[in-house]
Amino acid sequence: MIALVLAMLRARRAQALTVLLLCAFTTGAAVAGPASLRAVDAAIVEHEAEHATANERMLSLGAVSSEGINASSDFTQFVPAVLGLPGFDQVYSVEISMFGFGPGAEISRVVFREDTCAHLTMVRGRCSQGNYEVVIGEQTARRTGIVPGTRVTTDEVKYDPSSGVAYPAGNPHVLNVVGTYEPTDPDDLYWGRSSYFALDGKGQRAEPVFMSRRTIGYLNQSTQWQGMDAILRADAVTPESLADLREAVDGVTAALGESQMLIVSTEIPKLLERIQASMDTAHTLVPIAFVPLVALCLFVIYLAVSYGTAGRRYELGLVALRGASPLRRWWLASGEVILMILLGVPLGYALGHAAVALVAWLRFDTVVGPSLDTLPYAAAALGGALVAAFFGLRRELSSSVAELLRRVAGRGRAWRSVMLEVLVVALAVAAAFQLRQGGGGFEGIATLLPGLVIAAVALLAARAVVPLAGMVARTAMRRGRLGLGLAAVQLARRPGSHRLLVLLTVATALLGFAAAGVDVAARARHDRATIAVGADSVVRLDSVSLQQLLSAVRKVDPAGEFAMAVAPVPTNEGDLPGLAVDTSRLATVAQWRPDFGPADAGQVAKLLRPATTAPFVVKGTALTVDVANTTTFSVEAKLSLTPLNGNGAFDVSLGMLRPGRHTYPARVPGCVDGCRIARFYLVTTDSGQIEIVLHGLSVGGAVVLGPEQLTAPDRWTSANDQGGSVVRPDGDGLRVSGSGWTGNVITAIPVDAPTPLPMASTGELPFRKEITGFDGQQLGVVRVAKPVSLPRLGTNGILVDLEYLAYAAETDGGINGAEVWLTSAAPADVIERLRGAGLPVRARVGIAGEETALGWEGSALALWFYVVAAAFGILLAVGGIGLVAAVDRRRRADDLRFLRWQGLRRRDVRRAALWGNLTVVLAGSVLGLGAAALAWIVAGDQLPIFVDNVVAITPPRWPAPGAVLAPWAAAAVLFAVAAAIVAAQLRRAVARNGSKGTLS
Amino acid sequence: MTGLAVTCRRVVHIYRADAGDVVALAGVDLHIAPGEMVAFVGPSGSGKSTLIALLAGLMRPSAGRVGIGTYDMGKLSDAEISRLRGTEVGVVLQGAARNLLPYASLHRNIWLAQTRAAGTRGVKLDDPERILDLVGLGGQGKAKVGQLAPGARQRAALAVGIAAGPGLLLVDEPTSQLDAEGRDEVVHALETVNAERGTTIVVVTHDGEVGNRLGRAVTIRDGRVGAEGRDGQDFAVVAGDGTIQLPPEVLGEFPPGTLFTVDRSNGGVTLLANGEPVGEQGLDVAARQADAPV
Repeated sequence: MIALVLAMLRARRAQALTVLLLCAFTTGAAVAGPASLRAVDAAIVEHEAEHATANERMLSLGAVSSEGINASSDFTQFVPAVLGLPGFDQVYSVEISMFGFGPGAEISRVVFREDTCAHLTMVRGRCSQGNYEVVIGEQTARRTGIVPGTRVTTDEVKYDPSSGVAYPAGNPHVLNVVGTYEPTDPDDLYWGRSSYFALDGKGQRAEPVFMSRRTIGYLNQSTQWQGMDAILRADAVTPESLADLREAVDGVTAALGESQMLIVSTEIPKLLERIQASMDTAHTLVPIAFVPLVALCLFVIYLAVSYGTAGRRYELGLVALRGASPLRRWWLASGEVILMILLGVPLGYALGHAAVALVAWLRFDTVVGPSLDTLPYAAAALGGALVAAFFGLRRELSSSVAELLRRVAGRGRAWRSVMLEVLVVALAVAAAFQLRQGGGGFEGIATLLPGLVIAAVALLAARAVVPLAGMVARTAMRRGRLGLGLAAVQLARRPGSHRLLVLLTVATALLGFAAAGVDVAARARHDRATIAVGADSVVRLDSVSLQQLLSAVRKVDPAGEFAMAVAPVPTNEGDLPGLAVDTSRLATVAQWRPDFGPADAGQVAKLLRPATTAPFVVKGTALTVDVANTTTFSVEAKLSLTPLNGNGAFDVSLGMLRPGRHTYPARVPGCVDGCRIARFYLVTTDSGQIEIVLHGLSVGGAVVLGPEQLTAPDRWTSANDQGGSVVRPDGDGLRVSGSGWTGNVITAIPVDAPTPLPMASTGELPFRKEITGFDGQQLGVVRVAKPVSLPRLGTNGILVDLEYLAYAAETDGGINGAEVWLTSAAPADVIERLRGAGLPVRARVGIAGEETALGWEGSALALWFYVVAAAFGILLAVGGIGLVAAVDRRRRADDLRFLRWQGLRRRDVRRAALWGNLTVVLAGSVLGLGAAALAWIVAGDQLPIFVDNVVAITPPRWPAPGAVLAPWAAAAVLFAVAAAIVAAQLRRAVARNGSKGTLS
Repeated sequence: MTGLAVTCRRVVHIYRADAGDVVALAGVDLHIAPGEMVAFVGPSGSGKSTLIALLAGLMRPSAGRVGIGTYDMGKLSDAEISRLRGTEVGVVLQGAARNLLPYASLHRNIWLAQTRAAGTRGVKLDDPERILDLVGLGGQGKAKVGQLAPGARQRAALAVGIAAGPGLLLVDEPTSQLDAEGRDEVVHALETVNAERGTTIVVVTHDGEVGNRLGRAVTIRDGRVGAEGRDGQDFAVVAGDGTIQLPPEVLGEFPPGTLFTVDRSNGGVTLLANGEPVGEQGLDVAARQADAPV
């Protein structure tokens, strides 16, 4: 029996090869789905681990021990938990503060860090190893004149808790400087979170003093920081290790949380969550692509087997005629198909893995090996192929001998196809309901929704086309247009044409849907990147003062043509994220999209920055203040001044105020270019009610604060401090009062910014109409604009004027996260200019970079496989055209030859041959486009495009027409070429004489 | 296996079609003795192929009874009929090539035809080579049908038909596309099979010569047994309902509605048309039992 089956295979090599390849494709597609997921997972993990921030790769444990506080014991107790973390490199460090390595009261960080020498490049001398040996930074050495061989006498640093002033503790040590260094890679994760080499405002790197392990033991400092940085190795993060890693990190974090003395810091869970979310998105998308492809493959297997078997009907009838047993009949009917399927599965398994590995290597630069995890999918493909083959054979196996021996098969039972259509439509409706009403996204049956919608449209359309084609056929015949009539007859009467139409419709629709998804996702990524960056490019800064930020940017770009200062608004839990921007440049610099709302950037900027009185500015080197102390208490008066040239804000003391009205001079050399008066405050030392009246302030005879300025309503306010400060006009001056006690501060603040502060917000503030100022104080705000979206923040955030928010702060300390936004018109040397203006430039990012980063998210990677799957579907459809044509060719050639003998014109034969397939191709292409559109309407907006909603945007609802029509047209042309080729083959078959006995 | 008898009693077969029903057989009464060779002759569309399809169990009669040996075909299930075709009834379809798998050798085709019988207890099968010898194709077991001459193809088809050693061999148009020499070879093979195995052979043919060679030719006309020729002599046949079809050449002289008087005398029967005495308007009918010697 095997020999007979092998004889059949030899006799029908092409048909057998077709089934084998189709089965290989099916298995390949079934395996490629999970294999793609593995590739995508690997790529996501690799990319995320590589591009994670230092905090996301690190778990840091710290303990500060000082007089009376012994955190060392806790540190020692809990460190083993950190050391036990698998996949981490642990680095132990000790840090103390010392005087001695700089001029005067300069405080140096003196650090022991495990294995430091391996991460330092020694410029002079050698690395520290022995007792009392240290190395200092090369820049420090140049600045201080300390050279290797210098013995430095150090002292421990202590702080006065009341004033916060540092002073020597009287614990001197002599340390030997044995070398100078430069950090080999200051951004190396090895250095942990300690910012040893942070840039200052002038672009200078900080340089701690590094000491040897032996040295630390001798210093006997009362205050020291012990740290343990557990650095997650990139290769330890794998898709498989995520859960274990999370469990380990959570376990250690929870254990460390039991101690009140330890400071634990890690953003590893954030990284792991982001990776998991990215992988989850990919896991949602990939099945949407590959399940329909596998279904399409199975359909083509069914098509191939049913068509092939239909061509063998007589042969099967002959076997039945000889009284073969049902089992033998089944084997002889299906043996060659089963053998090919069994051969195709391992072939497809290998091909699927190889294809995915190739794509992963080419596209993601990731090496993905084969995995046994995909075996169940291969088994499912095998089962599916056998079931498809069984359905293809079913009719011939169940037919009677007489039925099989007939030349023309009877028509099948229509109710079966109707049932199938009803089932597919019902499933599509259920899936659509689950997706749109269930809120669970693409889960369960909803995963199949695009494929089901497409299949439903294809089946129903194919059903509708048949009578339509019949009508066209009759009309064409009546009018004597035989070529068209015969072509229409082909579509109307041959089941193969009907199935081919379904196949082409589905393949085209899958391509259209994939193209739409890819285009919408790409545009959404661009939109999000544009919004997320906020401008053409963004320069990120290290810690910088607000005035420095503002003045430096205005100095570099005085006309406001290409640069804008931006700082994050401090947030407390529950606050909307916010940005403070130099609104005078908002319209020019920010990427303000039309869909942000009816108001453009210029209008919003005007609303955020209403005209106010100018701030009080001291310009000169000396000032005098006229103050009356109406009490008998001594109180020190101070002014906080913010230089307009960007230099650091400073306080100047007027000295102790004596009872009665006096004039107090003060030197302010830092105000040559002008200083804004940020606040006037009193530092009390006595207990009791303090009251003074500020009568005036002048610089070189010019009045800065006179009666007009001091008594103007709402021009001054008190700080929300514990002293219960009260500020009110009093005669020609300003009365400032409050409760005094040692160290208390009573403050009067000039109101330079509008109150409440204007704010543009995408939504209502969650709890109160306040935001947090740069000084941490709550600040009243009023919503003046309601944009739909905002640069950087998307659909969730607030925007305020940077200068006004800075004015509203009592102090101008350094802020983290400040940026300079730039347009593409920024000069090439803008970074150097910003550095020259004193800004600590850390990095520059652009829209393209952000877009690239988004392109590595799971959804983007998965969509790429979607396109591959859709393209494969098109190739499958082309194969389907060839398959149906090959099986139909002999019969159609016979028919047309008979008609030709009976007088059918050659031209009509040509037309019938061409349009018989071309009609199906055109109908399938058009219907496919419609099916894709319907699937997109139902499911397109639910495709997960982004892993997170950090910058919430609304993706485009529809793809750009060209993005869909171009691949659609390419596919249609491909189909048409295939149809033309098979038409030419048919014409040749018609022209050939003496067909092999098929005329009988 | 010895030959199987064939019996048809009032067999009616109607083809159902959208355009209307077609009566293919309108009451066939027939008996074929075991080991007998019979040819069904008649014009196209007369119902011969339908009748042989009913005998082969490929279709079920609309009415009447078809008996093969001891089997009432109407009472057998599909599976039983299938088993019967694999063991006791050999069928050779019209067109020699259509009986053979083109990609398999003659041996393999014969083996395939024997598989059902091989699994049946008590059946002793001939070696394929012996079967090929029987039809004059000895030594050609490895050949495929496409490599044979037309006459040899038909005999190869016969070989497949008799592979399982059936008691009844049904052959449809075995000589339709053959020259005289090929026809003689085929008829000779049929005669050999019949002679050596005692197989009952029923052949559908348009070729009167084949009918003559087989000894008994049953003419099917309008779905009935219209006449029968035995040993060169033609007979009208009384059907089960008592009707007799007049020979076509006679029928033209008696338009529908012609009345006959039946006159029995001298051991014979005379039909008198319109009451007239024997003459040009009358027929002499010699009757005998179907199985009695003439």
